[in-house]
Amino acid sequence: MSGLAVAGVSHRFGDLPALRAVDLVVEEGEVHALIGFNGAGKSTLMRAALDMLKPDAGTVEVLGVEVARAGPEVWGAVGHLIDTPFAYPELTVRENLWAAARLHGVDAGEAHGAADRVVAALELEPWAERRAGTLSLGNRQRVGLASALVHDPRLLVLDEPTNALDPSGVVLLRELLLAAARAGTAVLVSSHHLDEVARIADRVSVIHAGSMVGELDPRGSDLERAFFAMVHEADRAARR
Amino acid sequence: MSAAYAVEALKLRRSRVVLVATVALALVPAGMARAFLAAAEQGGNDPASLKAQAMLPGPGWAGYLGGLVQIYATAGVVGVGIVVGWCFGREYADRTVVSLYASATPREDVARAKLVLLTAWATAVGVLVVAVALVVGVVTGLGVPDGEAARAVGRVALLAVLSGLLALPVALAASRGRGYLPAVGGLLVLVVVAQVATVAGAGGWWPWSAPAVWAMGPEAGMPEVPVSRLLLVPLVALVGAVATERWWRRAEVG
Repeated sequence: MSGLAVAGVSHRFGDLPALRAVDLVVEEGEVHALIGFNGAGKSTLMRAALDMLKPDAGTVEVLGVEVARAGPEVWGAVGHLIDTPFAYPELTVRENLWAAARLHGVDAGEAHGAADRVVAALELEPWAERRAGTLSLGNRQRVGLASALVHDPRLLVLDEPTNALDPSGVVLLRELLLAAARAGTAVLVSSHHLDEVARIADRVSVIHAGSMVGELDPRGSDLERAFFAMVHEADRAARR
Repeated sequence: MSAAYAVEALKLRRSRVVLVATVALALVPAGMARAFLAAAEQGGNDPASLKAQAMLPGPGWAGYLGGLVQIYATAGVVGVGIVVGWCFGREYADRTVVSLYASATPREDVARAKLVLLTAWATAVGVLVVAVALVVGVVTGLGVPDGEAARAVGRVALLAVLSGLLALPVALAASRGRGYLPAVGGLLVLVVVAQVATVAGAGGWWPWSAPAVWAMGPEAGMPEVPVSRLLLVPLVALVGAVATERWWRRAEVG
């Protein structure tokens, strides 16, 4: 069973095609990177994968269950950071993570322990008792990442997770994602930092103008050159 | 307590908006009503005194509580409505609503928890308003309330609780409009239409003015409203709540 299986997903925003018959599979235990320019369709695809929008066509399965039929037991095994970190400004960092744990289905008796674990994992101890509204953007991003991880999900979907992170935060995130994948979690991560992708991804899919245009070898010698070549070829093919 | 109730209760406890609204609703209407009574009892010819004399139904507790009814009929809906609008609209304005998707806790459970907790808070505020009003009245020399005043206290208490319920549909405006401003707009529409309905003589039938018309009563020149008609209030609150929950279940991320 794959962590995430997207088949033939298309979606339009009015006249603008956002996704065109996109296929994507993220296997358990793999880090699958999704790369593309701004507006290529990365975030829209992730939103469709998480039932945040209903695509016009195609199917999405999360942990082997079609999203329309997925209930709390399925979503309780999914972690995500899309758009904005889970960080209510009036709550402290620890309270936010407790709240995220509870909403993700962690029992009341275990939620405080789960929050404490991710506070340590994301090195948030110095800010744990501070209100999230007082945090820097980078630390708020760490809180969002901790919220996505607090319930040990089996599928992790992260949209541009390195946004606002300092270099130590990027390294920390890299280690956490690799550890999650080693533990069997299916990880889908979008990025346009190709060097970062090369360090963590088992597979790299390229999305361009709403279409999946191919895969790149993350161990290849020049990922950037290969990415641009693939995108330009897709543009040429579209013009023909 | 389920996850949705536990988390929403924590958010409400930590919110400065809720704290400020609670204090303001408890103190300001009672303080204003007492100030109006003092102005009316001075019997002066200045505009404030004349306005107070025209507004209040009589001297002492009757005038004080009559003034409180008129003030809280609007202040209660506005104050509770601001909190309701904030509670729902902030999820969209701050974009935290995105985190509530793909979660073990369905979004409609979150919406229901908000509505139930806000109803409980508004009811508690309504009781607090009456308690504070009694203390203000006694401390400022109105003496111990007599039997008639006790009945007026009961009317104020029911009005205060109903005013909280009447603000619940603001949640739908905040959700559908995805932010605070639609909530404020919805709230203004409710208040203005209630005033227009009262002036037009339909105040006893319009749910957002019927409790005030009932509470003020014929002694304030209002038409008689049977208590049974106040059932309109929980009805519109329930309709608003169901529509809000439905929106939260179905709406896509905007």
